[in-house]
Amino acid sequence: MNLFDNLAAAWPLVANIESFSALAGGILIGVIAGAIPGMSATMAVALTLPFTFALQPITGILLLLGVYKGGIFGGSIPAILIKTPGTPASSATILDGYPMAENGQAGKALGMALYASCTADLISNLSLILFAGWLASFALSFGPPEFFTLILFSLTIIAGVSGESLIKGLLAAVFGLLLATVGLDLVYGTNRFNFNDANLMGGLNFIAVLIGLFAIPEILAYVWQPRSSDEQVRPLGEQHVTFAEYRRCFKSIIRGSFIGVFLGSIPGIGAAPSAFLSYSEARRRSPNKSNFGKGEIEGVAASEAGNNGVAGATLIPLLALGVPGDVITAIIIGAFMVHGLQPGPMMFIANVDIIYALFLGLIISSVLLLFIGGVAIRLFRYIAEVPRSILMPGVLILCVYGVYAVNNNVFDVIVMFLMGWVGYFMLRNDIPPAPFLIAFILGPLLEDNFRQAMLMSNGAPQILFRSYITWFFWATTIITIAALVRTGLRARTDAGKALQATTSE
Amino acid sequence: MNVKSNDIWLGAGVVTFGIFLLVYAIPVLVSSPSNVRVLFLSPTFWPVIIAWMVIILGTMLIITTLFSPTAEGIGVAAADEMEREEVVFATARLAAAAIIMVGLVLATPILGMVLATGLAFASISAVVTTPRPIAAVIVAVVLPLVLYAFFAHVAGVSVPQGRFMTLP
Repeated sequence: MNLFDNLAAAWPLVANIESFSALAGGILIGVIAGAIPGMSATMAVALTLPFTFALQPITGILLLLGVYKGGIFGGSIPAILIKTPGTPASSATILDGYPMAENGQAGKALGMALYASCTADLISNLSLILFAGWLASFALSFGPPEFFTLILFSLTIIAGVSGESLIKGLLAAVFGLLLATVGLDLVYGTNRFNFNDANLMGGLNFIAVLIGLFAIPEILAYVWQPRSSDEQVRPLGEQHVTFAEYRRCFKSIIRGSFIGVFLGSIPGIGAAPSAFLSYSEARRRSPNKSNFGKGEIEGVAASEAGNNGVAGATLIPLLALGVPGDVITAIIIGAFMVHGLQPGPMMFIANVDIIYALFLGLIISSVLLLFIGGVAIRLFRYIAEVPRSILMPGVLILCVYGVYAVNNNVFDVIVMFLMGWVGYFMLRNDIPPAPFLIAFILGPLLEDNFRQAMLMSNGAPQILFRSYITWFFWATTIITIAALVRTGLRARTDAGKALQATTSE
Repeated sequence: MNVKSNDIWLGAGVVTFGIFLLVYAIPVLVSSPSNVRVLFLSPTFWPVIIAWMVIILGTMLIITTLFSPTAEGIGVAAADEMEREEVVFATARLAAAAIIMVGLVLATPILGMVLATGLAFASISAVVTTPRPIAAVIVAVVLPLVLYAFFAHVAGVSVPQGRFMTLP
């Protein structure tokens, strides 16, 4: 079947009230969560995940994708109105969005953020449709050695770019791999770190670990230092974005979208670097470059196009290779697994209707985002007033119900709380949680492919270098480590110079 | 404690944990059949590799921190920026949160999830001294009931009812 046949076959799965409601509801939840400082798109997706258990697979996954898309855009609202990014991806939007709000042009900045987000989102979704199938058909030729080297490369890059320290990122990934060994051995079925406890035989529950790592530490951080946001919400103003302004920024939006698509399709990079790269490219090429940082609408357009351009593209490695590109797609992979689906090249053969239904849903989500985002902008004042002293205990209760619902087991709630304290320890010590979670998910896959490769070769490690694909991934892994070490050494030298200058003054 | 010495202690802890894995945890807690033909296929092989990576990375963390250009006293941790009294209160709040979490787990089979989570909500609100106590009480009652209604009646989850109260 060709692309259009697949889309036609998938259409009935999306063209129903449940799917539309899930998408619209998801976008609404995402925009609201993204707009609340202290919540994030990641936390919103994690907390929504348990609510999808009762839904059909396609409906549940569309709900989560809606939350993801809405969350990324929602983060731009507080970035512009109160100079606080709702999600890290919106940090670049502050640079010109907040000065515009100070000049009484908040409505214009938010309008441009919305249009740039929707345009970039659409381009990203189209790229996903074009490239995911092609990459999946290529990945069908992958065997265990190729998958092993691919996962190793993905983990290296995720560990390297997630935090400020490469060593701490790698440490997080290694501890994630260690946690993934809990349970029964994959080949012999013998005990590994499970204390002969039936609750641990199947390994730790993925949802308990992820909610523990990403929601509980935020609650504990709030308990450590309870404070409410006292930022002043800027009025929207009377000015709105015009078509001429959109046309003037169009080049930057398209450029930013493709930057987002490119960076989003590489596991681990994420939306924030894409937004900053898109912003700096727009500033470099714009005739108004002197106005950047002072309230230039093109700056808002570029940064929002950069971060939303990632949203569809991060699903390329997820759907085509089964490798999550960032934390949110790692959570979405959990939704697939809960519903008995395994993303990867085989899904393009076994469940092609679901894949194309998701593609269609994503295209529809770009249109829905335009309407729901427009309403959310006007309602932000009420969203911003949700007190954190009510929000954070509420999140705790949501976590407890959500995690319990996975297996109807209080043991999972205990795991969640323990992981929450681990996550809080990591937060206090600047250890990034993303490599931990992604390594925890990919750990069994990494080990399984390694051992399958060893079984194939009767223990000869040369099999890990058997094809140009494995060589390619080994080479990219080494280049990635070399580049990260070089960047770290350069930062250290710069810090040393800065320190010398400070002490000599 | 500044960031530099904090990272040295962190590295030392990581190395100690790696040694603990190699010396005690893997030999005792990972069972390996005696007839494993190839070393790579042994159930202990992967955990041993991970333990060595833990030791190597912990050592690298110590070495890189020792040779980092950060001067003593620079890069003071956020906790040290708080007044000593504030740190004591913050630590007490964290301890209270830990007690609430343990209490929630223990109370769920007895009180039921609705009551236990409602009490946990109210307790956390009290710990952070919410400026909106009435709203907190209302949410502490309504939110667990709404979640119960969804998970029990829509998602079909068997939510623990407890010994004293049975909800429809």
